[in-house]
Amino acid sequence: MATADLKRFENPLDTTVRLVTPERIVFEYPLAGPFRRYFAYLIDVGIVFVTIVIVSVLLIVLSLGSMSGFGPILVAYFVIMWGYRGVCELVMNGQTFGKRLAGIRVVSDRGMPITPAQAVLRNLVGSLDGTVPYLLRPDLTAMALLFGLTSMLLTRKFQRLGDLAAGTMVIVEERQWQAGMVRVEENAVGDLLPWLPLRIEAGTEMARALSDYVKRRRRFGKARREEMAEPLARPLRQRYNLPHDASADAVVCAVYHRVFLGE
Amino acid sequence: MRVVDRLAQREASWRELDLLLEKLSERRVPSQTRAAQIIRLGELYRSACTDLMLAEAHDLPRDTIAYLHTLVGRAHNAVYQAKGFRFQDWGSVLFEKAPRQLRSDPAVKISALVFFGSFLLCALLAAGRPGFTQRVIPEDFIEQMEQMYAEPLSQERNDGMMRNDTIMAGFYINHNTTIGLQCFAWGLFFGIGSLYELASNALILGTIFGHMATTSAAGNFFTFVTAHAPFELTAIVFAGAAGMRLGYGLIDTQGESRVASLHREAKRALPIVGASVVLFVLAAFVEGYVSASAIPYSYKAMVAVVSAGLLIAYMTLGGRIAGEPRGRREAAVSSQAGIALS
Repeated sequence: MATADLKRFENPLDTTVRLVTPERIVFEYPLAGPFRRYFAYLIDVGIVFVTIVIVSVLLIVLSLGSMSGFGPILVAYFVIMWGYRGVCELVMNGQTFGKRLAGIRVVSDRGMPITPAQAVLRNLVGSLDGTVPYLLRPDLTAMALLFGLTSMLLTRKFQRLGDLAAGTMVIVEERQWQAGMVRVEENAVGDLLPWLPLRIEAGTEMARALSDYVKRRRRFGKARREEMAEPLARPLRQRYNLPHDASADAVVCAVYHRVFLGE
Repeated sequence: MRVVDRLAQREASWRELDLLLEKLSERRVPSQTRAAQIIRLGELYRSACTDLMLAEAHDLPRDTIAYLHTLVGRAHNAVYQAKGFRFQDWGSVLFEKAPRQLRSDPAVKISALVFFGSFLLCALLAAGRPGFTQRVIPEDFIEQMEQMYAEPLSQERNDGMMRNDTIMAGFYINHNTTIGLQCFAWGLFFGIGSLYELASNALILGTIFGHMATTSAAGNFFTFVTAHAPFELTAIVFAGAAGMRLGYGLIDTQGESRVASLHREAKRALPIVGASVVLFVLAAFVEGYVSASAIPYSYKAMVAVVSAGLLIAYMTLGGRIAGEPRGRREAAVSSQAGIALS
């Protein structure tokens, strides 16, 4: 029974992918969905165009405005258009500048960092997904982007065609984290604390429910808090003989305080 | 132990790991401090792994667990980094792997057959059957071609058309290589995209060849195309072959899942794509600087013969000397590593 419960927890209805490291540790990556990736794509396209313009101006200046300057410009255009993503992902361990800003990274679908071959391959085949925009044919570019989007929606790991060919996926790397625990310092909660035992062993599911509720309760109005906390507060009042007029919100917060923060 | 105490105890180590990862991603670090950092990284990574393993048992709140997951993920990516990029590897791919692949891959033969077969067929039809050319290619384009080659390209033109070798070389690199790479990418659709690109290019090129041979501009036309033909035509054949290899991975899975089989064949196709890109670039330089210049025809023909000779040597001898056992050993090692990790 315990394993079944565990299993249900381990496969949430979430866009995460589980990986086992060589240390036999299981960890999860949140997958990057189409919209976060589109944001990175837009930044990258912007960077590519700006770079091409800057390089073109430089080359025109270097060739003193003669016609010969246009040859290298075309070469630079080709190299930047086709090479920017591949080279970036190779040098920056799976990130382009757009991906870095969007907080996402390409890894192989086994969770390892990508190899040079994968970086090149996913961006060559990626021309079918619109990573190499057709400057003069917006219709073709739109079609290619639709290919990529369709492929992302049809695969479980949100892989576009280039990802499928190279065996890669894109994951979210979030870094923000508020240190420590959320504290509840309200009088109603403080009044309830003496009623509770000093130590409460809550168990995994209960602990999770308590911390989730306390973390999010500030966003809701009073009536909504009561409504959400009541189903959990009712058995808690009975178990610890709490006064019946104590608000459900205060009961849950007080139990949270005992489980996580102590005295 | 209360959760809050446990957090307070472990938090410093997580913060340190976080900072260390930040520092390691910047490249400019003196090697001595770097060595110390890497050793510390190993320690912190292992302790973070342990924390994550025990996170559920310790009833850590959900966002702390989520943070630990990304922290361990980032550290894992730093510990098991990909081998950066070395020019030596690319050399061995181009001069050892690619020729071996070219010799052993039936896709190359099919691609060559499709391309040169339809090329010859269309050339003969265009030369022998009046009216065929007009059906394949728009009339104004034919007129334009005839006009273009009415006089030798290298002379001072009196129709006001200026030639600039550098522009043209740049144009060919961009235009032709893009076609080649797209030809490869389209192979993902079960190889049909590559076949279509190959056939349509062969159709147009063949028809132009056949048609131009029958006009008065034939001399100028062939003077222009001879020098770069070996490189350019081979390059498109290679690109098509690589695309077909990619698509074939989806058809014949050899017992693996379709996606896994696609990876396998895509990896196999990649050296050929590299060879194709190099050939396209070489062809563009020859086309821009030799084909269009005023050099006498005999020299241009010599360029063609030499480049064809180089290609034959590359395809027959490349990768046969000394390189073979090393390649195999690497493959064996990497497959072992793959098993250990999976």
